[in-house]
Amino acid sequence: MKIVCKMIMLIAVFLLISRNAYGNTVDYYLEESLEMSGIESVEAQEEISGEKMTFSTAVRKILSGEMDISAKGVFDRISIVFSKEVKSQVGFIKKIVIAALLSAFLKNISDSFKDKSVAELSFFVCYIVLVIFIMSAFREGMALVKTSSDRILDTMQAMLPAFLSVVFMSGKGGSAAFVYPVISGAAQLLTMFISRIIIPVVSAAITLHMVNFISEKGYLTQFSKLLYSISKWLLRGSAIGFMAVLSLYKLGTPAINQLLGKSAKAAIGAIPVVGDVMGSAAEIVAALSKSIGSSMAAAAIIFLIIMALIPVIKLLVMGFIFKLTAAFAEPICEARVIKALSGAGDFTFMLMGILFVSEAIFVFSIIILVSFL
Amino acid sequence: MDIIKVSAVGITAVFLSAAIKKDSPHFSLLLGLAAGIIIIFIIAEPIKDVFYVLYELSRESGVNSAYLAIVIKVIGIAYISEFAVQLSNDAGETSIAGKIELAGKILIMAVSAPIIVSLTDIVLGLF
Repeated sequence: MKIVCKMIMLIAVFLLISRNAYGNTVDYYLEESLEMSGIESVEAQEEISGEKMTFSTAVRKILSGEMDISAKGVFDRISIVFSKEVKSQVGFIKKIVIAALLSAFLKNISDSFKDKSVAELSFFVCYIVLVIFIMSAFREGMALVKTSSDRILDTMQAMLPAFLSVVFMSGKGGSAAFVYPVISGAAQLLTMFISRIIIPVVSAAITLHMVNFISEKGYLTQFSKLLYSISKWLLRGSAIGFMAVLSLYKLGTPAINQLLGKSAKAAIGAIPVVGDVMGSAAEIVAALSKSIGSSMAAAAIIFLIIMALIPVIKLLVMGFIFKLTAAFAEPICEARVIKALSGAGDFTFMLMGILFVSEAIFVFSIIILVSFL
Repeated sequence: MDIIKVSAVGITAVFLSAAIKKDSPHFSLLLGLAAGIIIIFIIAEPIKDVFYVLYELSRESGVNSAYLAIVIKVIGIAYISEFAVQLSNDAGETSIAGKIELAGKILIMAVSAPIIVSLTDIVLGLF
């Protein structure tokens, strides 16, 4: 009897004191629940339409399906950006070709001179004009890498409060509180190492490489090769250092998606200079990628990739142009000019590797942080 | 065709020079100088066409015309000084030839100074 009365009272309570329940909208979630003040100041340029996009805009577009993040959609976007970039660099191709033609023209004239010294000096002037074009383009590439790295760092610092608030809301703040300082500190340290040490070493290396070919004898060949090796190993060292930090995070997940890990490793392995090192990091992160359940994490990663996509493609196209021009000019130009062009291509690909390492550091940091959700 | 004219002038000058060299070596030298000048005048028009094409290409690609002007001046200085050096060597005046060569090198460096300054600015801008 008592039980029946209690049941009747319980049902009466539910019937009489009923309220409507509402779910939070995406806007409420983005604007009220999370600390988004810092990240809203960061913008990425959407690569196709060219419009500026904030992080909350990116989240809304992903949730509404306006941004296609399928494999085909991503491939289409990359193709469009690549073709736009190639078209915009046509003027640069012409400059390099004209400078190479001038040097070939002068070389042919100088071969007919009995005394080579004056002709050699005039070739020297032509070569300097070519070097000016190459170094101007390289300076733009270097500024692009510095700017992009700084923006990625600023974005990461702005995003971390928002992610931390999500992780703490999920009740797993203890683990995140331990990992966050380590990952964040390592990422910022490595970024500073790249911008303060690696990039100046690369600048010195390419300067010496260009100056080396002014003379036929190449007095600085070994020195420029040494600097190139140093910059390559510094970059690989920073990637290995970050790998060591990742390995501090012990994997408790029993299953690793082998297919995804191998595919990611193969794709990342193609990146110049650091591909083989970062490929192993991709396996670790692929194991965690299945834990990316939140659209916010996906939006953050996509936002970071959009920020770095255009600079990476610009550098790829620039490096490809140098290599292609060297290949086509080989029959008509002197060996020094061809080696200078080819070396400029190698250094441009190294800049691309630098930007990729900066980007990968932060993407992997976000994935690890979000894996606590 | 221009090459026929150039060859005709050159061969004629060679024969005439060979004929008068023994008796009047200085006239032989003058003959060589005159033949060289005539040849330069003959090829002036084709060279102008080549430089015009280079100028148009550089204008379309956005290359600074100052660079092209400097390179053309350098080519001109190189060729003229080489011409004078060879003439001096033919006359047996190797010391004068050396001076002309030195002058040519100095003038090339002077004309190309803006290019070297531009290169220095760009390299320093990397660091």
